[in-house]
Amino acid sequence: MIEFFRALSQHTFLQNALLTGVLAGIACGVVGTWVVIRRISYMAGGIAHASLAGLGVAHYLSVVNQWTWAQPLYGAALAALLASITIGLVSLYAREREDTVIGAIWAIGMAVGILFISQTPGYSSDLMNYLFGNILMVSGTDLWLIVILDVVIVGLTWLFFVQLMAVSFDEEFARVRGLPTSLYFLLMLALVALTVVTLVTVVGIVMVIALLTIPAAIANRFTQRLVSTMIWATGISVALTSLGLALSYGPDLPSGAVIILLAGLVYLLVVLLTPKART
Amino acid sequence: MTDSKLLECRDVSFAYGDQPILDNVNLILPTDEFIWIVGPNGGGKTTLLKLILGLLEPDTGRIEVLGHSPQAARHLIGYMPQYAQYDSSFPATVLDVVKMGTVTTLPGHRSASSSPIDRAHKALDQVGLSDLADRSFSRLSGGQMRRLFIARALASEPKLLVLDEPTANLDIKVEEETYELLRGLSEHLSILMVSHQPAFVSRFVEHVVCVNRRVSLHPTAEVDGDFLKDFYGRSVRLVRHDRHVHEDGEND
Repeated sequence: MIEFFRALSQHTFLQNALLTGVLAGIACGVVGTWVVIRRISYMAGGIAHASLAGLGVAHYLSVVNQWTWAQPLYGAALAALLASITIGLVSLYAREREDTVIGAIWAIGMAVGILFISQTPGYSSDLMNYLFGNILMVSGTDLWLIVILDVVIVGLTWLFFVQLMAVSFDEEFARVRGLPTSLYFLLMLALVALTVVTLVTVVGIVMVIALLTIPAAIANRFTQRLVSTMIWATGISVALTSLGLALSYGPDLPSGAVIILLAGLVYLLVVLLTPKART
Repeated sequence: MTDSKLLECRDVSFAYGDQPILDNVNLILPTDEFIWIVGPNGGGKTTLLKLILGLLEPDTGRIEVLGHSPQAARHLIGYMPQYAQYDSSFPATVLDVVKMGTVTTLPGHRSASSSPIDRAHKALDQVGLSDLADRSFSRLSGGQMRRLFIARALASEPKLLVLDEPTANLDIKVEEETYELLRGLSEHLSILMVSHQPAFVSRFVEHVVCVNRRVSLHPTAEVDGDFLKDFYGRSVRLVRHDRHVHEDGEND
């Protein structure tokens, strides 16, 4: 830990990493709360994994075709948005079992990503970074993208807060109020897609779902209003990623895995040790 | 089209697949009344409500609510859905839930003169829950919870209150209190209510709509409490009664 703080003052990559954790924590706390109260964590999991397709394709294009503007995170954002809209439309309109379709999109996205990454010359460690995250590799460009995504996510949530809350609480009632509930549902999934992109760098797509659910689930146990749940979830998420990063640095452990284990442990303790705020 | 018509159904039919639910419904209801919708389970009560709310489209025929299409009339309607177990871990206070009743399509869009928060407080006051505004909604009792959802329906300042089984699963005392509250509200707005419980309602409803694939309307002058009990009792019993309703409908 002391080693971590000493290194923090010297290395920009570590400062970037810490800043990424804080910025991703904002998106995670806000959107994770929607995911938890709307119970769409399985959809969020599908969106997260399908984003590997975009990461893989963009990675391939930037190396093989020399398209330097094709940042992997841009590809991830595009693929995640595409997956969220597909999953949303299937869930709303198709007469197909929703979970079956989500499972299919989940795996097809990964398959596309793995194929493209396998055909890209260079280090195979890239695949590992996307799957399990490498917060120490965050570039300045990535940071700016995450800042922009945070602004979009928080802005949209602030603008449509009451609408999203009403649709989550009682969809039929919201429809009678004249709300385009399907559109708001798609908006929520799009927010999930953007949040996934910010979290990919922190913990990788495989473990995104834990950070999308655990901080909000912990916060939900102590709070009685949606806004406070979001604020607490953000704080918890920032604390978990920062502490996880610090703990992993000294012994040179994979930071994503340490962050998730820490989050899981805290969640377990909270569930075991605290009675629910209301019964 | 005059303003005194709450609801007008012309030749309305609706089927789920090849199963007819409502068959050639013709119905005109007056405004400013407490109207009770009865009928056996599966007879089409909830379907009729959903058609009125524009949640379903009729296969044939036309529906007008207060002179508008059901969708266009939504801003005039306060709705209390059939009581479902709401997610008790949803982080919302009593006031938050009522505020959801003021929600509009887009942010910033104002349909009423007063602010949403003022209307929410007024609605809580109307149902007597003002003291509990800041409490977590999931800590309310069953009866308070119904009042809360009535308040949410009132928060948009509707002209028509539509309630689907507002007192299901309540004990008799709380049920009577809930009906008493609704009776008070009915002095200022129209109420359309589906309910199984005849005993309390029959004392103050003005019209009764009997729904069993076909629909017939009875003013209370024609239909006294005894008839209602009778109707209700037999309607739960069996099919023979259905033939009776058909005859009524055709005689009208």
